[in-house]
Amino acid sequence: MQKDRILFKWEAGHLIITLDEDLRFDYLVEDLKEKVTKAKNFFINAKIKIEVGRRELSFEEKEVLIDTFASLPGLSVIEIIRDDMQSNLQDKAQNIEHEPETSTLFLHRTLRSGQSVEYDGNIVIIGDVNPGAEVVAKGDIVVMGVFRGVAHAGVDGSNEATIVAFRLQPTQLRIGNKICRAPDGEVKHPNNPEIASVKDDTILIEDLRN
Amino acid sequence: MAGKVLVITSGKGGVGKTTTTANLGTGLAKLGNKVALIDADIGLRNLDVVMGLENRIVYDIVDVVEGNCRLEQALIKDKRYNSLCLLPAAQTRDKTAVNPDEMAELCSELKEEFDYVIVDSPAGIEQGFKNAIAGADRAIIVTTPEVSAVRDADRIIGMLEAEGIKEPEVIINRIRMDMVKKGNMMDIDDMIEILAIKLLGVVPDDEKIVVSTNTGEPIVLNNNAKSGQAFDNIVRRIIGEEVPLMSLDEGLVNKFKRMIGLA
Repeated sequence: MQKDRILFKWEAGHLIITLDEDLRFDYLVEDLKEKVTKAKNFFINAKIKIEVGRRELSFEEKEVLIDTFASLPGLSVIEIIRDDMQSNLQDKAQNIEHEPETSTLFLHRTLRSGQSVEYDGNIVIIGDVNPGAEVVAKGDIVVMGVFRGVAHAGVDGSNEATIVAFRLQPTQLRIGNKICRAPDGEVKHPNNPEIASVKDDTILIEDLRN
Repeated sequence: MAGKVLVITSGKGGVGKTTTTANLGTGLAKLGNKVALIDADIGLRNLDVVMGLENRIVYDIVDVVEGNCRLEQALIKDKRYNSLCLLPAAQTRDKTAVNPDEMAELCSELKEEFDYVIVDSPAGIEQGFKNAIAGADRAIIVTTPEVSAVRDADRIIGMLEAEGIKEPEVIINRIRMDMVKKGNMMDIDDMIEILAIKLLGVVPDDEKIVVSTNTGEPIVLNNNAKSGQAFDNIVRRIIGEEVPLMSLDEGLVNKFKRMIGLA
């Protein structure tokens, strides 16, 4: 996903401007100048904080940033905030310990009857899953196509797992230790992407939004 | 110039593999091609019966593989077309009497001699099926508009892909447009959507086929039968002609005839 280079948001009376930490500084300044002049009145009497992420700014660069806002009326405070590298890394290390990153298997094909995929992580299938085929994942299952087979997400017992498909017309869905099947008889399937997850101890299928 | 080996298969039994083999073989021969049919359904041989050639069998495929006779000795010439031959299955043995390597060898030997070698596969996915597809260049899957047949066809397509037989084609057999229209039978689009392979043709359900298989006269030779025309069209598509799908809607006259019991 394309990340916004510059983000504006209001927080606790401050206008927080977040600058992308990887983009070249001169590009960033150019962008910023353009945005600032376009929205001059927006900055009146604003207390501005500039978040630069892990980027290390030289004295000159800081000057340039401040100058960008200097021409604006009624500007009160400018603060430049840099993420602390050290603590950041530690945070990340802790995160890894608590939540080991699950890997994802990408499958660029259609699964036919009798074929099955099992993976110790998430599974993304770019294709259909036909009736009689089986997808078993420790994590989530995403099908970029029509899902007509049997899926088991969160196979180690995690009810947090989800199953998403462009068209969800399953024979049977299993999430963690929950199981559900398609109703008997003719079923009308909605013509939009759906997501299955566990809510209140049962598997619930909802429209996929966002 | 080497010919092509086609395997006719389905997974499910009773969908019309043998009838299709007999009709495609006869149709191809009618157009002047040299054709050999192989019945790979060892122990349950039928193709000879459908072709009306049962009483001419002396040697069979197992005799060839075991070296009891030469390949030419086991090939039975068709009654109608000199360019059409049948290699019959053994009836007293089972599928393990032949292995895939022997089958592939047999196919490559036959395709030196013939334009088309058509292998009639047994139902199932076990050794008989594996033998049947061993030498195939191209696969034709026969299915009927039933959920179970389509399911099995899907399974077979997956297995063919795994064996490296790319782009199989499907024939939908025994369709009844009147039932499809009422929503009581799967329609062609539904089936093709699931199977996601090329449609080679559609054969309507036809009582005349029952008669034709019982008398050993392939329906493709009967120009008055819609099913015969359908097989003829499929044959033309196999040799690379562009033939549009024929309309299977019942004409008004026929409908009337059927209502008053004339057809």
